[in-house]
Amino acid sequence: MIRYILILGLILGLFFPSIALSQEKSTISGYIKDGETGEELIGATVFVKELGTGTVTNVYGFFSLTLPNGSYNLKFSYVGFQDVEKQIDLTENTKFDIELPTNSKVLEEVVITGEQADANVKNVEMSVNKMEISTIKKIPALMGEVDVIRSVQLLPGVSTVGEGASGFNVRGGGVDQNLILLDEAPVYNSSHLFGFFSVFNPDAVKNVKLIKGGIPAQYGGRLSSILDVRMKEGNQKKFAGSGGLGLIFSRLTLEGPIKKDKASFVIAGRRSYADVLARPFLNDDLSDSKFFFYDLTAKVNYKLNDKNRFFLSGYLGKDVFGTGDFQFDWGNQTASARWNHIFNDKVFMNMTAIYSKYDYEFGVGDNQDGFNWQSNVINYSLKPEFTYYINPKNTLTFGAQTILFDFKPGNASFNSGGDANDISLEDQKAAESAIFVANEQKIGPRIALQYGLRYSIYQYLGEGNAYTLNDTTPGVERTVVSSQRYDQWETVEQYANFEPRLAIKYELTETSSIKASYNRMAQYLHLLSNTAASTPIDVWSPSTNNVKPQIADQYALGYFRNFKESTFETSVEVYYKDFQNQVEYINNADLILNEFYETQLLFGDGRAYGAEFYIKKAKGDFTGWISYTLARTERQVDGINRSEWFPTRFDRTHNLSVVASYQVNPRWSFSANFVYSTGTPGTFPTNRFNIQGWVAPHNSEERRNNYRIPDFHRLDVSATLSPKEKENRKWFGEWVFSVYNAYNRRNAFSVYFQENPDIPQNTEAIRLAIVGNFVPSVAYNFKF
Amino acid sequence: MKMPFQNLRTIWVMVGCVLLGPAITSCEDPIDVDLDEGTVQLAVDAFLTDESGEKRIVLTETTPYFDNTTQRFADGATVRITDDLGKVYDFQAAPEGQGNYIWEPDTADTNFGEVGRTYTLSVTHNGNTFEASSTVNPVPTLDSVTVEFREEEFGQEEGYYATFFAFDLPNREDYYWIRTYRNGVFFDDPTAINVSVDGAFGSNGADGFLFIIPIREFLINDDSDPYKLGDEVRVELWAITEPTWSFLGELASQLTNNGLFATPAANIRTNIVNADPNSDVKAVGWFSVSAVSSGTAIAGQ
Repeated sequence: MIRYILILGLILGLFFPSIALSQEKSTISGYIKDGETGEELIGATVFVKELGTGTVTNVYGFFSLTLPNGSYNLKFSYVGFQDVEKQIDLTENTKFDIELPTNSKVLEEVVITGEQADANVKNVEMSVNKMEISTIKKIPALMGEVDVIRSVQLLPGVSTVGEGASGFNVRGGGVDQNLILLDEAPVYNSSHLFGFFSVFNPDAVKNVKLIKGGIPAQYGGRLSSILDVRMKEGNQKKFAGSGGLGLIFSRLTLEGPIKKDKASFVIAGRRSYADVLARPFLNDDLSDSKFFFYDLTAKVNYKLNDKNRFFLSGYLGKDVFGTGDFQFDWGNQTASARWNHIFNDKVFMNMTAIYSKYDYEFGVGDNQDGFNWQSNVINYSLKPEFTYYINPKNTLTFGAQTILFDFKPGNASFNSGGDANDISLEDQKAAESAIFVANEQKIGPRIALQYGLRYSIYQYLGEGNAYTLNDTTPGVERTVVSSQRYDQWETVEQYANFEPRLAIKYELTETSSIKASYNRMAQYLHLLSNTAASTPIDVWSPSTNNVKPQIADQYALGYFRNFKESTFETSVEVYYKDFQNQVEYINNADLILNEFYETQLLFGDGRAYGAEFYIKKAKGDFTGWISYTLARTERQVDGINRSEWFPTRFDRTHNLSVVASYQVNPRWSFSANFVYSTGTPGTFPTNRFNIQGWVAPHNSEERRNNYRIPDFHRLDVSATLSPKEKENRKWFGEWVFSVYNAYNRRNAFSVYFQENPDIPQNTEAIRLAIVGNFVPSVAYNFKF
Repeated sequence: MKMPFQNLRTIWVMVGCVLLGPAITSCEDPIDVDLDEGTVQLAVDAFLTDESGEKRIVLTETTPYFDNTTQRFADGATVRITDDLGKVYDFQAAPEGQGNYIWEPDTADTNFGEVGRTYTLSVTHNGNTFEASSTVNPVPTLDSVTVEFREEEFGQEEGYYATFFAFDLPNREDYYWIRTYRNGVFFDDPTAINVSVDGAFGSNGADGFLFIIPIREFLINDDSDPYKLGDEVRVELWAITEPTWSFLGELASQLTNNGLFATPAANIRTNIVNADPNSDVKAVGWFSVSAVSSGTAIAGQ
C-alpha cells in the first residue's frame, strides 16, 4: 500500500510545481569553492535573506536556485570559511562561482561538520553522519594511523564485532550490508591487515558521509548503510604536498593545478614498512618473509567549460603476506570516470562509469607439490543521474544504474608428486539494474519531504550450471536433485523489487525538529562468511535460483535539537528494521571451493531495533561528541537455535563512544576517546565427552549465541604539537603522540574452548585479545 | 578444504607476533567462564577396524564442560553389532568396567570388518535403544613410510621427518583417516587430525593420485617435536565412509576453533540415533568400521 501512496505522491510532486508557476522567474547557479585551494565545497549554503530560503551545494559543489525576478541579498557560507554576501538584481538566468576566503582564525579550530551549523535540524535527511577529514584526523588512532573506518565506528548505530575485525555493522546489519563507495566506485574489502587499518588514505579524502536510514533513492544494492567517501579534487591554485611518517605507514600526497582553474590532480600513496624495519632483526630462515601493504590513490579533473567537467579517479591497494614458498595477497582496484554536465541552469547531470575489482591469491609449494588459488569479483557499472532544480521548493533527482558482475569464486589447482589437477569453480555472472526518481519538497516554512522510488531488477546469468536442491530437515545439508546447463548470457533467474523511500521533517521551532523516515532496500550480493570476523578470502556471491535477494525495511523516528546557537547539537533516533532472506550456514558448513555451496546455506528473517543518543559540540576550543546506542539485533532461521530467535554475532546491547578534543593553545591540542560496549554473543559448550582420546565440546540444548564474551572498553589519548605561527610558512610539520588502549585492558575479541595443551583431559576457556597491551606511538605529519 | 584456514592461522600468528610483536603481546590467556550444565547424554566411542584381535567400544555419559575430574561411565548397557548377513556380535562388559565393552573373536571366526559389509550397532542403556551403522570401504596398500633427517628451517625444528607413500584407489570417491603413532603412542594433536578425500583435501578430482604432500607429510609430523633417532613411526591408513570423514572434520574444527577466523561453535554430528523416533532422548558420539593398511619405519635406519 505504501508503495502506491508513494507513487501517487511522486506524480503529485512532479506536477505540483508547474501549476504554481505564475510569476516570471530566473535561476541563479554555479559552484562554491574553497578560496585557497579551489576545491569545491560539498554542502555549502546559499541563503536568500529576503525570502528566508536557500539551498545547499551538491557533492560536486554545484547549486541552483530559481527565484521570482527581483532584487536579493545572497549569503554564501560554510563552516570554517568567511561568509560572502552578494547583492543581485535578478532579471535573467545568472551564473557565477563563489570562492569563500578561509578564515585563518577559525582554521585553527576543529571543524566537525563542514555545513551550516544547524543543518542537522533544518535538513530533511536523518540517520546521517558526516565527517570532515579534519575531524577524523583529530581522533587518537592505533599506531597513530588516521583511519576512516575506525572513526566511523565511533558514530551512533555503528559497531564492530571486535578490534581488528574488518568492516563495521550498522543498525544490526552485517558487514556485507554496507555499500562503501570511493568516488562512487564500490569497495568490496575496506581493510588492510585484516581489519586493523582501512584502505582509504586520509590525505586524499575530502569528506565521509554515512547514511544509516532514510536512504535516498539514488542509492541501492545494500541493506544497511551507504558510506560515501569522496576524494579531494586537488589544489586548483598551487602545487602542494602533504604526508607523514608513522610506525606503520609512510604517506605522501601531491596535488596541484595542471592548468590553472581548468585542471588539477591529486596523487597519494602509502606503504607499510614494518617489514623493512624488521628485516635486520629476523633470523635467516625468516628473512624471506613478506608482509606489507600499500595503496595508491589518484585523481584528475578537467573543466572543459562552464557546462562540462570531467573527473577520473583510481585506487589500487594490496596486502601481501608470505614466507618462502607460501604467499597470500589481496586487494581492491577501483576506477571511476565522471562527467558533470549542466544542461541549463536548472538541470545538473552526473554520469559515472565505474570499474571495481577485489581479488585474492593464495599459493603454497611448487609445481611438484603445491596448491594455488585465486578468486575475484569484478563489476562494471554505468550510472547517469540528473538533478532538476525545479524551484526553491522542489528538487527532483532521477536516473538509472546498471551493473554487470563477474564472479570468479575460485580458480584453483594443486600438484601432487608432479601430477597437476585443476579444481577451479566455474565463473558466475549477474546483472543488476535500477531506475530511480526522488523529489525533495518543502511545504511551508516547517515541513520538508523527500520521497522517491527505486525499481531494481536483477538477473543471474549463464554460462553455468543451476542446481535444484531437495527439501530436507532445516539445518541439514541439502542435496542436489538435478542440474541444468545455461548458455552464455542466458537468464537463470530474475528478481525485481520496488524500493520506496520516504523522509519527512517537521520543524517545531527554529532550533528543533522531528523527522521520520522509511526505506526498503534490496541486496542481490552476499558475502559468504561463516567466521567470527570476515576474512579476506570470503567470497562475494550472487543471488541465484537458490539464494534469494535480501530485503530490509527500516522505520526511523528522530528528534533533533540545537542549543546555544548550534554550539551543541543533539539528537535522539529510534529505528526498527525488518530483514528477509538473511544468509546463515549449516553447522560446520564447507564454503571453500565448494561447487555446491548453496547446499550449505540456510535462510531466515532478521530484526533489529534500537535507540541512538547523540550530543555533539562543534564550536569552540573544546569539541567532540558522545554517542550512546541501545540496540538489539536478532535472527530466526529454521535449523539454528531450535528455530527460535537468537542474537546475531554482532549484537551489542550498549554501545558508548566519547570523543573529545581540546585546543589548549595554537600549538598544542589534546584528544581522547573512550568506547564501551557489551560483549558480543558467542556459542559456548555446556557439556563434554571423550572420543578417541579427545575431549569434544557439546551444547546439549543446541543453542546459538547462548553466552556473551566480557564487555569491551578502551581509552585512547593523543597530543598534537603544531609549529609556531609564522607568516609565509612554507613547511608545516606537526608531531602526533598517542597511546592506544591507554589503561592496558586486555579486551576479548572472542572466547574459545579447548583441551589444555599440556593436560588434554583438562578443558579451558581462552580469551583471545587482539590488542593485549597499550600501544604508544608517534607520527610526524607535514604539509607544504 | 581445511588447508587455507590452517595457513591463515599461520599468517595471523606471523602478523600478530612479528609485525605487531613489540607492541602487542600475550594475545591469548585462560579466563573463568561460568557455564550451565546441559542434559546428560550417552556418548558412544566406537571406531572399529578389520584388524585381528578384540573389538572394543567405550560408553560414557556427557559431563559438565569444565568438570575435569568426574567421569560418568555407561555401565550395564546391552551392546550388540549385527552385519547385513545377519551375523551377530555380542559385546560383553570388559573386566575393567569403566564403560568398556569388548567382543573377542573365537578361533573359527575372525572376519570382522569385511570390505563391503554393513555393520549395525545397537546399544540399550537406561531403557533407551540407540542404533548406528557403518559400511566398510576398501583401502589401498600403504606402499612405504620413509624418514629423513632435516636441518632446522622456518617453523621446523631439527630432527627426523616422516613421509608415507600411497596411491588413492582409482575410479571411486574414497575417504581416509591417517593415524600416526610414535613408538606406539597415537599422535593426537588436534591440529593434525588427518582426513582426506581421494588422497587430497576435498572431493576435487585427485582420483587415483599419489596422496598430496600435506596429507602424506605435513600432518604426520610434529614440527616442534620431530622424530628422534631410533623412534618407530607407524602410519595407519583407515578407509572410512563419507559421514565418518565429516564427523572427524567437524571434530577437528571444533577442537581447534580459535582465532580471528573461528567459525561459530557447532555441535559435532552423531550417527547414534534413538531407535524410537518419537523419543526426545539423544546421544552423542560415533560408530565406524574401517579396513586398515599400514607401514612402519625407524628413524635413522
